[in-house]
Amino acid sequence: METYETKVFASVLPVGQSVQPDLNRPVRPVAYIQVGWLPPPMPGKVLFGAMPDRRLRFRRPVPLQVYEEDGSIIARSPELDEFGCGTSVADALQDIGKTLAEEYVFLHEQADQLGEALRDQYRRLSEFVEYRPRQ
Amino acid sequence: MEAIPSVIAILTCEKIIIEQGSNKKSLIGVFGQLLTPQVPVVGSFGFYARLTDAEGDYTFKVEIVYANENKPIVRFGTELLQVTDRLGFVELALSVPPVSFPSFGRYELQLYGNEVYLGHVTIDVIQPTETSHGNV
Repeated sequence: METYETKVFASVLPVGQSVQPDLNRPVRPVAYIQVGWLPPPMPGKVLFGAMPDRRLRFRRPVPLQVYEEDGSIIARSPELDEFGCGTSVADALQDIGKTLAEEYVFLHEQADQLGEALRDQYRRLSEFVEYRPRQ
Repeated sequence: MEAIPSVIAILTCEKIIIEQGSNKKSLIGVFGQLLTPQVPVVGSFGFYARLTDAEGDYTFKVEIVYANENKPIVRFGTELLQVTDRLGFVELALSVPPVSFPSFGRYELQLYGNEVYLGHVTIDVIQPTETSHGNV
C-alpha cells in the first residue's frame, strides 16, 4: 500500500514581518480580520449554543459564566445549576454541552417518574433544549 | 432571537474549491496539525462549517484562541447572511488570510453565530520529530 505525505502548507515568518491577506484565493475572503492578542469579547461570559447530541437542539442560548479555578477552566450555568470543566474554554464548553444533553435525555425519558426537584430541573432545562423534529 | 444553528461539521483545510454552477465545495488537504520547525509560523487556510437549524439573519465569527493561555489571537467573520429554510443547510466556506501562530501548542477555532458559541475545531502547532509524517 502506498502512503503519501501531506505537505506542510505554512511558511515560517521572521518575527515582526507583516502579512498581507491574499484576496485572490478561490473562496470568498472573510469580511474582516483582527490580529494580535485580543481581549475576549465578553470576559467571563459566553452564550452557549453548541449541542453535541444530534437528536436535540437549543431553543435559546444558555448564558454561562466562564472562569479559571485551581488551574481548570469552569463553565457554569447559574440558571441550570450545572457546570463543565476542562483545560481550555472550549474543553469546558464541550463538557457542559454533554452534561446538558445527557441530563435532558435522561429527564425526558424518565419524565413520568420524576420527583419534584427533578421535575423542576426538567422544566428549566426544557426552556433551553428540545428534541429536533424529524426531517 | 434567531434560531440557534446546530453544527454538523467544522473543518480546517489547505484550500477550498467551489464548483461554479453546482456550488459544491471540495476541501483540499484537511488538517488538524501544523508541523513547523520554528515559530511564529504563518499560514493561510480554509475554514469550512456546515450548519443546520438556522433561520433568520446571522453574522458568523471565528476566534482563534491559543488554548494553552486561553488568549484570542485572531478574530475573523462574515458579512450578514440571511437564511430562510431552517431544515436546510448553511455552509461557511471561508478563505482565511495568513494567520500568525505565535507559539507551539493547541489553537481552538471557536465558531460564533450572532455571538452565540456554536462549536470549535482545533489546530495543533507542533515541532516535527523523526516519527512525524506530515499534517494529520
